[in-house]
Amino acid sequence: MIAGRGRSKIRPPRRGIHGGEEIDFEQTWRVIASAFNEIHTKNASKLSYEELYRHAYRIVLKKKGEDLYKRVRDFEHDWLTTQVRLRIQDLLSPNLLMSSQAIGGTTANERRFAGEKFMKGLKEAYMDHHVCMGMLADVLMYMDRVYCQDTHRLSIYNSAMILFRDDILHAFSQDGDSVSVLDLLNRVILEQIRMERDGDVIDKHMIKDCVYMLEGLYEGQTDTAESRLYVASFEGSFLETSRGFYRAESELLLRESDAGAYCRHTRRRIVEEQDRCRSTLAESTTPKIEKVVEDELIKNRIQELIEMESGVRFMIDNDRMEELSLIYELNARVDPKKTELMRAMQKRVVEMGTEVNNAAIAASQAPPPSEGTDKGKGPALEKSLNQQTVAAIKWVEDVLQLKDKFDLIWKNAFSSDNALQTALTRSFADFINASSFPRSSEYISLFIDENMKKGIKGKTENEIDMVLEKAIVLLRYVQDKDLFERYYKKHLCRRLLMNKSISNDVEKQMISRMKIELGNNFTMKLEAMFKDMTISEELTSGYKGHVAQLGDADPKRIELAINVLTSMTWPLESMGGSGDEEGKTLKCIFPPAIDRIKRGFEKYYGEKHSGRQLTWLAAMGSADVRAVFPKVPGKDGMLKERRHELNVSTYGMVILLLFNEIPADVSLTFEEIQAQTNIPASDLVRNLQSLAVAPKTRILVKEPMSKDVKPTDRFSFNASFNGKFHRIKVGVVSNGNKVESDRERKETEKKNDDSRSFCVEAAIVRIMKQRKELSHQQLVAETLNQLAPQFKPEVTMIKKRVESLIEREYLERIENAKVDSYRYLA
Amino acid sequence: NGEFSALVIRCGAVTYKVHRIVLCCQIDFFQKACGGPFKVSMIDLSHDDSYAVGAMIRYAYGGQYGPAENPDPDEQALHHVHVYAIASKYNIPGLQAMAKDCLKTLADAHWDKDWFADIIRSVYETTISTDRGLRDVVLHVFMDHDMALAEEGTESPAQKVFYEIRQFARDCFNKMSEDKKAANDEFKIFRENTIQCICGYKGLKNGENGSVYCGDCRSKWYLK
Repeated sequence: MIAGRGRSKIRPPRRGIHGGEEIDFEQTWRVIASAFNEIHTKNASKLSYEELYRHAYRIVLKKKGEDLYKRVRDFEHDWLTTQVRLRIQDLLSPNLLMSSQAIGGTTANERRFAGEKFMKGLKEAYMDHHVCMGMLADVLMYMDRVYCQDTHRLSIYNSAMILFRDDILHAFSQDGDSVSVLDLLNRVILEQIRMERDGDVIDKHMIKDCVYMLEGLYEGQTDTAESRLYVASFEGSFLETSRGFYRAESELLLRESDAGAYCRHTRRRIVEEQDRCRSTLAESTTPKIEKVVEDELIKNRIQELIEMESGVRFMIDNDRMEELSLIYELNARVDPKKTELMRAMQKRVVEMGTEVNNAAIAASQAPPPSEGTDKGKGPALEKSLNQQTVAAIKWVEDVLQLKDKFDLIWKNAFSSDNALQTALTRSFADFINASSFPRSSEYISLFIDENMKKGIKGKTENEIDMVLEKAIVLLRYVQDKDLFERYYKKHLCRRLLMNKSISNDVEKQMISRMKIELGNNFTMKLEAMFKDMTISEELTSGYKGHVAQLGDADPKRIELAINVLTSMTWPLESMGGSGDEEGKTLKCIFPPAIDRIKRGFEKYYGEKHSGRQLTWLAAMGSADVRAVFPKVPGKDGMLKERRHELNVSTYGMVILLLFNEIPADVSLTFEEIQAQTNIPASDLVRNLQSLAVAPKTRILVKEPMSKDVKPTDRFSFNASFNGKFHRIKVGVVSNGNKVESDRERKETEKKNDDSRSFCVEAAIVRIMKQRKELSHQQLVAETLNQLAPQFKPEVTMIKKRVESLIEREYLERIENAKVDSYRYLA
Repeated sequence: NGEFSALVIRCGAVTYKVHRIVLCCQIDFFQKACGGPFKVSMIDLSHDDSYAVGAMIRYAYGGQYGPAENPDPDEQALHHVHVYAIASKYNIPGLQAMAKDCLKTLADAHWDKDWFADIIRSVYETTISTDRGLRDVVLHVFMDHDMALAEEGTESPAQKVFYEIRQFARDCFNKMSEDKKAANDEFKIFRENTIQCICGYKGLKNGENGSVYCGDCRSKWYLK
């Protein structure tokens, strides 16, 4: 079967390798143990590594691994408890053992030296142990690899480290004492750190070495990061002590230094702790100690700090950028939202903004200042209105200045933080739209008005851009955009009709900026006004051409410049001054010459645009009248006829032309004038005031001579009128854009509310048309949302509009609905 | 001198001069022996098999080791056992694996020789019981031919090993019972998953290649 079997030759005796002979464990161990002794006494250079390795290998190969492992441990335990522990105990001087509270007779310095000596000794003992155990582990490599792995034992090195922990660190420092060496070490390190915090110089290296030891040893049997002795025994009490230290320090600092110094100190402390972790302790502690410092010095104190007398308010008021940026940095460390800083900043913005508001109100309400009298003309009313306009412009400038201030702080100190910017914007909007200050829309519009009329004169394009930008910046904050639109239209209307604008281009730039900012809807009507103006120019020149064709040039022909205004686009009611109501019902009676032109133009216009009706607004516009005054002796004694070109309002012209028809010495009473012209009484009063009361333009003589115009006053041509200039402008009171009086404002607001009602209704219908059915809450929310770009309606207004729509059967309530709901009725 | 200096390794009468850096980099033992605080004039490995030491040095240099001087297969096999032992002692896993493969090839070819018993003896003497490498090699070869070896008398060299090495006898017993259990399990799985057609053909339950037809008579599976 199996062929070729059988011994082919005699085997030689086996070579004497590992296996064969049994070993004598005790004898081999004695060799190893004496070698370990040499290693511990630093005489390893005599030993043969190969020999020791071989002995250990053979013991393990012969299944004596267990015995070897135990013997090595016993050997180390013995060494540590007899040799090393004694050396450590020698280092424990009485003044080291005393608890820190009990320091009395011994000086702190002696205690410090004792501490350093103790750390040094302990560190050396550990380093020796570490080195020796490294060498033992090298010798016992085969045991670690085979025996320890197969039986799931700790490697001999780790096992010996545990022995060091238990035999040295956990040993009591003195017999009968409950303080272990480890406790003592923790205490010494903490004391040294305390010294360093108080400004002393300590031996960081030595502490680092001790920390290295604590990091190399573990609590329990597992070696996870959390069970390092450093973490398990030292770190906790370090953090606890630090917490106490910084808590006390923060109290002291808040009492004794100002907020800026506090911030600087806190930042220094954080940097110090970071450095300490790097140089003295462990990097892994950095975030933990940072948190302790942040908690105690910042988080728990930030409110007090910010509200200190030298806190955020002081810093803002004095532009302490560096300190503000510190506060920001510190607050950001403990709170990504920076709540406290934000609150303080918002509070200050609103405070300062309210001051600006109040100053404007005070300035507009104060009695005319005495220095105003040096201008010496115009009634008191105009003074006060002017004063209000000045207040409006000052308000705008002040708000802008406030904004610049906070923008600068935001950029330089708050790292251009997004959340803070939002908060700033909100606070600005808060005081600008405050219910106690309803004038912001009007003031902004007036600011633009003032600049359009005077401010931008002689400015470069860039400067004009900046002015426009300022206005837009403020406009962004305004909540009730519709109110602003109303004022802007009114002011623009005057500028356009009275040719007050310096530059049409700039006006258009402003419009396009608003278009970008507020949308097409907002500027549509404003643009329509410009369009009307353009068309009117064409009409004027067209009519001029038309008249020229009719026949020879007539020197007496009256030239007509006309503005045809679309009635819905222009806020004409605001132009007519106080006489609206009468103006609408009574038509001014024009003198025949004027009436002819009027009819001529109506015919011309009728041919171009049939079906359109023209309404003549005599309350507006102006006329240039050439007036000839009787000869009076000139400087050279010659009699001279005096010619003046008078620029008067339309009404003024109508009045003056009456005196053309009668002899120079005949007078007319107020009532006669009114009857012949149909000019509304209030307008007539104002026009007569300019023509007969104002000293420089007294073309008529009033009898009796007084400031007020009474119905019984008589007027006659002032033949002895003496004007300094050839061209004289007869101003009529209240002809410019000024701040509204309270009565006017109420009216404006009422009108605004009326038009808001329409907007609200329109929005409700739009929403319901789309949704068909909706609960009350949702409807209100959607309406508010839809109207947000224009204004913020009162909820009661929405309710009222809903009621009204139900009455008019656009909507109905849904019966038996769980919540109030409406249905759209098509 | 330094890392590049020569290292003298003595092994009985033989002396190897090697590059310190080559040995230290490849084998931890030399690193510790040279780099540590211990005495290092030369390293005496006289207690190890000198051919195995040579093999180890060759392996450290070239990743290979040559056969023994004596070309006889029994000498070769013993050489591999010694190389395996030295690789295990000094923790050189690559060399260990190489020696194991070489021994397996020889054992497969020469299981029927008388000296195979000597090899088993050597393997059990030079390795620790938890190291299954070589022990499993000889065990499996032995068990693969258990029938043939059983026919030999109790005094045959192979069977004598049972008396001498109790650990080996125990390993054989364990292996037998493991094999038996594995065979039982396999049969159980086969039985549970097999069906038989009326034509007598047996196939797996789920049809052959997923088909619903008998693999032999091509009719639908009809169970007997």
